[in-house]
Amino acid sequence: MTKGFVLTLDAFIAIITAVAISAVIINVIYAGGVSYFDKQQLAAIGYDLLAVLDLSKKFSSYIGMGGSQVEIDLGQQLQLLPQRYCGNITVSIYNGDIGPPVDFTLENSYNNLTDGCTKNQEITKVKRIFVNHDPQKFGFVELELWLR
Amino acid sequence: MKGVYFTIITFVIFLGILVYVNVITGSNMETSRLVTEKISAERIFYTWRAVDDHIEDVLNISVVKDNDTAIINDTLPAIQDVQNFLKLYQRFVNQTYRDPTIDIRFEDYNGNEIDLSAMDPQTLFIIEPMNIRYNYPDFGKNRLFVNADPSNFSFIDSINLYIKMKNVFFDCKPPRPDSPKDCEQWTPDNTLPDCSGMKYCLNFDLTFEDANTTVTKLYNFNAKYFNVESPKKSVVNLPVRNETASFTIKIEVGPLPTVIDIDLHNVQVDTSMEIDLNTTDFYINLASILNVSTVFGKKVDNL
Repeated sequence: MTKGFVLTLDAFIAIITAVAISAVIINVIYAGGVSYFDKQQLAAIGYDLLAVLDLSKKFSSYIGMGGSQVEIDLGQQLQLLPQRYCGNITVSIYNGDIGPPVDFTLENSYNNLTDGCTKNQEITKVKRIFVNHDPQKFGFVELELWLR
Repeated sequence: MKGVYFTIITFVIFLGILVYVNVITGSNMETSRLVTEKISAERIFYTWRAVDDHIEDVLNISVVKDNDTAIINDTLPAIQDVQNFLKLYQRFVNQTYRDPTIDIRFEDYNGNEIDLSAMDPQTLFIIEPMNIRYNYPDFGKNRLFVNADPSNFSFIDSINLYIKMKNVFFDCKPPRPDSPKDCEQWTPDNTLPDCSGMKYCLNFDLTFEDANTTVTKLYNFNAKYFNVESPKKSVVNLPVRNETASFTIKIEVGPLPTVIDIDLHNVQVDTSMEIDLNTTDFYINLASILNVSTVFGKKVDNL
């Protein structure tokens, strides 16, 4: 009777131990990954970069510029990111006219990726719009960021 | 008895482990919540700023507060159909930025969603709380007004206005010494030698530059002080000419609530206006409120 009770108690304690150790391991791994802070940092840097490029009229300057020239310039702008970050930037420029059928038609889209980067990590996306008065154009920029 | 001790000790150890796990889990959840909120706050802030920044591009105007001065750089008349541009801009924001996780609304002061193109150009930019209005009769921007109620006029220390004409030349002296016409003939003339003892006196410095590209030709008006108490006003017609015709730009100063009224008659200009106030406690509002919100928070402010 006593032996059976002890064995049951042992088994119960073993289960609790296994669950507790598993939980500790999962939590330590999760905390060690600092994924939350990385994600926050990626978003903050992405928003800052887009704001700086927009307010310095960089995106507007791409209107009417040749495609390869824009893509080379976008590559240079991505070099502004810290070394451990990778970026993939897409700038789309639209003509606007009240529809129907549509209000905006894509005029040009430019893209570039940080040298030596491949998309193999969790990606953080940030975006920004811009407008040019003369000629009247609308722009949309999407920046994908991840850790190298 | 030994077994009982072992059991108790083991139980206490595992209880400790469980408490530790609980604390770690709670901490992680708190970190996750804080970071998510921070990312969301940044998203709201940057989205609000981006939408706000480009309203000035749509209107082709730049409005800046610098200590006690409101600086407004403008291009007149309008190059684009501004009302149509505003409508398109609102649609572009809705179609590219707005999604199920973020809401972007242009609102009136009662929180109702508005059509940006329905903003009244006659109350477009307002210096608050003085209710000093920089405005146009319509979005064609052929005429420029600065209005202030007499009760708020004393907030204005002075106004400096520089107008660069892009398609016409002076047709008057002194910039064109050979011209029979004078640039500065105020009719009626309520200019003053100074503002001493006057309640409604405007200190106004007005300079025009013509389209001459080889030699910069400027004219800085001699009159600097104007009685603007209703019904007093001062009017001057600045003679200018283009390749084919001569005409005038009409400038009126006063009577309140009109502080300045400049009728360009389709002359293309870039203007730079500095409204010096007697306080730094003011802000410049566009006649709309921008509300950007997510489930975590929102930013609601005047454009």
